Amino acid sequence: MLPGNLFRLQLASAFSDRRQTLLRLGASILLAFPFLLIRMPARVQATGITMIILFTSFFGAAVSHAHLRIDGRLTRLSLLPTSRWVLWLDLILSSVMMRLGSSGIVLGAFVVANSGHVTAAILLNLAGLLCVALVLLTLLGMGTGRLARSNAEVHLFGALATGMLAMLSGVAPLPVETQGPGALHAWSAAITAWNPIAWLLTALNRLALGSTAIPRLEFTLSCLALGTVVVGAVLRWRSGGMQKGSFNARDIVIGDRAPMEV
Amino acid sequence: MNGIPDAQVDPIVIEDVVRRHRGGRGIQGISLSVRAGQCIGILGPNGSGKTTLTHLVAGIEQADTGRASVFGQPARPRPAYLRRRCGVSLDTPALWDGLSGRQNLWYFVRQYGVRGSDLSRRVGELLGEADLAAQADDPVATYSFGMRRKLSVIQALGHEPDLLILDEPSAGVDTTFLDWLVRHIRTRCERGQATWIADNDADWLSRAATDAILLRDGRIRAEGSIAELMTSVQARSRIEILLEQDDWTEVPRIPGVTAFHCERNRIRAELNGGPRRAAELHTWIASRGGRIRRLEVRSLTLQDALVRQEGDHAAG
Repeated sequence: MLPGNLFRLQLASAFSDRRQTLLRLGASILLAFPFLLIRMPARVQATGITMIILFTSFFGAAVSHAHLRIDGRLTRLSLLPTSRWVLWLDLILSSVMMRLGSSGIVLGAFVVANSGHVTAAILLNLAGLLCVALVLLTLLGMGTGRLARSNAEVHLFGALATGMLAMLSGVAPLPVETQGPGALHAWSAAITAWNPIAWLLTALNRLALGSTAIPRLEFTLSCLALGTVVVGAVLRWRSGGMQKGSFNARDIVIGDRAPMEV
Repeated sequence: MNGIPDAQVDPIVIEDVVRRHRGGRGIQGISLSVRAGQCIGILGPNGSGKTTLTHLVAGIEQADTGRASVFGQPARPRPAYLRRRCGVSLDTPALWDGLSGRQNLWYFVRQYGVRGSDLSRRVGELLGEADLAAQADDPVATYSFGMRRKLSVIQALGHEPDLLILDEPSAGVDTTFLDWLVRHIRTRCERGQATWIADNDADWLSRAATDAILLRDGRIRAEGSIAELMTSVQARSRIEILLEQDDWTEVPRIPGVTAFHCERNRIRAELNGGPRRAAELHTWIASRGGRIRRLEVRSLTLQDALVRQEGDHAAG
């Protein structure tokens, strides 16, 4: 494949090495095995799966963004005439697509293991929530990757951020002292209420407990997110493909009006 | 005012620019301009500020004070239409290792608006010129250091930019590619396109550039056109002699020996007049009982010309 945009370039690069791809998928599946094969309470099972998605997606985004920055590729990209918005959109979307593979397999395995009450609406809702969670984790991971100056710092900041995210998403329980009334509890509860990772955890809990009910707002937002990510990915994929016709870059630069972004 | 720069404006204008890094390095009060059709070579020891100055021109770094402009617009932030007129190859090749050379090159050339058959042709031409055609579809991870450098340089050339900025293009690459790059840069100069090269290879730079500056400690210490600088050292050579004895004290009175310095068993001299003078000096040392272990003669280079000018300036 000859990549015509950053979205295709990043995806082609991510899947160019078969060993790396297998390791990425294998690590997620291995981590998920205990939660799928060993009998345990539904809440623990859902929490474990959410934690694996949080951990692998966040670290994946943070480490790959740190590499992109440290080895100078991000600087090189900033010199291209492509719009910054388009570059960042491509970086985020391609990162989400990369994580979608491993997270999707883990989530799919969880759904299969709890397939007694699965409906199309539940599947749509879970896919949408996974997309929103992955976008959030990608953004946070990229932010962490931007702060870090070395691979060691990425892992240090990543460990701290993952722990904090796990607590704010209800994946890890908050300390008992903060669970009563108080500013910290109210603050964390407010974040959890609007946190897509917490929504995903709740949706997985519902599935494991056999409930088919989905809050209307959650379903609407997750369908919207799923649609946006799918349409965005398809458009960017098509935009980076082979295009017929040609024009010389210099011809559109030296003119009497500002040239169009490509 | 539509934001499009005037075609008559100098591609690069730097006015009293200061950029300091932690630890005190950087550049201090540099002013220069590069005209259309000019190729300026930046020489200087490591840490002299070459890369910092190149980053300022490329729009990667912002000056602390002073003004750096490209085609009449501030060098940073640089709008997309201005970035399109520039081609940049930095000292560290920024490549996607898992992808092939062709894939990497394809992506970069296409971002500058080259499409369809033009894109295929241009990518093929560049890979051929860099002698990478046979390895074009191999992953970049399998490339040698020099191959990566060449790929990085041709990435910047893909769209024939009006301003080409190269940082250390000669590092680790073969002479065939450097010869091609010299021819390419000369053609660019004839077309009125500007080129900026920061490099450590003075010999190569003297062939590629039209003008040169010497940076030291973040300041311009010497500058001039290559023609003038090379004329100032034309037919001059430097001789280095290693003696077997370390008590040599005599100084020759030979016409054409313009400088003579002896330290223990090592003699350094500058000669005006080519190899014949070296033979005369050799004969003179032997006649005075000197036993020569090694003798090395080399022509003075662009680097020497700049260093001489720097010394002249320092001496007032």
